[in-house]
Amino acid sequence: MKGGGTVPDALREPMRRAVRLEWFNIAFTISIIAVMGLVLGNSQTMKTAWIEDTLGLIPPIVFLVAIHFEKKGPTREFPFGFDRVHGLAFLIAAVALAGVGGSLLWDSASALIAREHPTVASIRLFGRDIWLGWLMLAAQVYSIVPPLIIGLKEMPLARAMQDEVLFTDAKMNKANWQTGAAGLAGIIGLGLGWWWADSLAAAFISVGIISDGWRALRIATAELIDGVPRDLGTTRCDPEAELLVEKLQAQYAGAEIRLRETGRYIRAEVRGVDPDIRQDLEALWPGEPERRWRLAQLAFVPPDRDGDEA
Amino acid sequence: MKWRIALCAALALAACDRLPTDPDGTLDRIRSERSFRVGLIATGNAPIGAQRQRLFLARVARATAARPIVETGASEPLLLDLEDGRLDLVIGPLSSESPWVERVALLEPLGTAPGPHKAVVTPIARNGENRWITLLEREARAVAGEAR
Repeated sequence: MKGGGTVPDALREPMRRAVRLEWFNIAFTISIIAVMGLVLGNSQTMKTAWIEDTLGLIPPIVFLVAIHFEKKGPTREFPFGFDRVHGLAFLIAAVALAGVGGSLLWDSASALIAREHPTVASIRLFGRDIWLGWLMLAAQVYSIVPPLIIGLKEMPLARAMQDEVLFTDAKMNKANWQTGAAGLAGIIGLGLGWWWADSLAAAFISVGIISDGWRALRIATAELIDGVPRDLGTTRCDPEAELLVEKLQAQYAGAEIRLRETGRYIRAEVRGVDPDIRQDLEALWPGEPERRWRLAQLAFVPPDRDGDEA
Repeated sequence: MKWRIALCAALALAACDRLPTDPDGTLDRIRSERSFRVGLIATGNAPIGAQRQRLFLARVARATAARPIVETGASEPLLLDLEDGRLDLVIGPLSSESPWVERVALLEPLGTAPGPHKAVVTPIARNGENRWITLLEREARAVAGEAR
C-alpha cells in the first residue's frame, strides 16, 4: 500500500535490484567508453558508437535520481511527493534514446553521401605493428556483452515495477549492443576494402533506435500531459487501467472517470458524484493482485451547483 | 565435420592475412606495376628530413619491390593529386591544424625537421587505403627507430 508518497512494500525488492543493476550499468558503460576511447580511430562507427555509449549513461543516471526522490515522500514545498520526477526522468531518457538514433543516422548518412573512405591505421604494440582494426574488433566485442546482459535483466524488472525509465534504458542497452554488432560488421567490411560497410551498418541500425526513441517520447509526453495510463513501452492504453475505468463506471453510474499516471502510479478521478466516504483502493484494483499498488489515489469531484462542473 | 572446421579455420586465417584491404587496390597496383608515385613537399631546407625521406623511400621500395617515381612541388597541388589517386604518397611537413587533416591520412612522422617551427616530416597517404597505409607506417617506424 502506498501511503503518503513512500514506496509500496511490493516494490522494495525489485527497486533494490534495479538500483544495483543500474550502478553496474554505469560502471560498465564508463569502462566501455574508456576502452573505445583508447582504440578510437577514424572509423565512423567507432566514433558514433562512442557518442552513443556516452549518451547511454543518461537513462541509468536519471533512473537513480528519480528513485532517490521517489523514496523521499512529500515535503512542505512538494506536498504531492516526487512521483512525477519519474515522468520527467522518462522524458529525458526518451530524448537521449532518440538522440542516439538521430546522431547515428546523421553521421552515417553524411559519411555515405560524402563517400568518406575511413582510414584505420596501425599501431606498434610489443614491438609488432598491429592493424588498429583488430583492436577495434576486440573493443567492439567487449562493448556488446555488458549491455546485452544488463538489458535482458532490466526488462522483467521494468515490467514488475511498471517503470518506463528502466524500460527505456533496456531499449538503450539494446541500441548499444546492436550498434556494437553493426560496428563489428562494419570494421570487418572495412578491412575487406568496402569503405561503405561501416556507415551502411550504422545507418541500418539507427532506424530501429529512432523508432524506439520516438515511441518513448510519445509515451513520456502522454504521461506529462495527464494522458490515460499507457501499457509499458507502447502507446496503447493500459488494459488494467481500462478495466479500472469500467469498474468505477459501474460503481458510480453517471460519473465521469478520469485516469492519469504519475510515474508508475495511477490516479483516478470520479467527477460529478458526491464523494464516497469509505474506500478500499486495493480492493478496487481489477488487475493482478501483486500490482495493486498501482492505484495510488481515488479523488472525487462533486457536481457543481449550477449543474455543470468547472 | 572435422575437415569443415579445419577449412573454416584456414579461411579465417587467410582472411586475417588479407585484412586490411585497400578499397582502391593501391598496394596491389604498386606491386603489379612495380612503381609508386611520390610527391615531395618542397621546403626551404631540411637536411635531416631529406636524409630520412631517402631512407624511407628506399625501405618502401624494397618492401614493395617497386621503384618510386618522385616529383617535387607545393603542398596544395600534391595533396589534391593524392586525394584524387594520381599520387600514392606525399611526404612533407603538414600541420595537424591544417584543413587537409580530414581529407588525407597523416601517418607516423619520420622525424622532426630542424628549425624554429619544429615541422614534422610525415608520410601522407590517401584516406582509406588501409593496407598500403599499414605498410607505410611499418617502414616509417623503422626509419624513425633507426635514426634514434
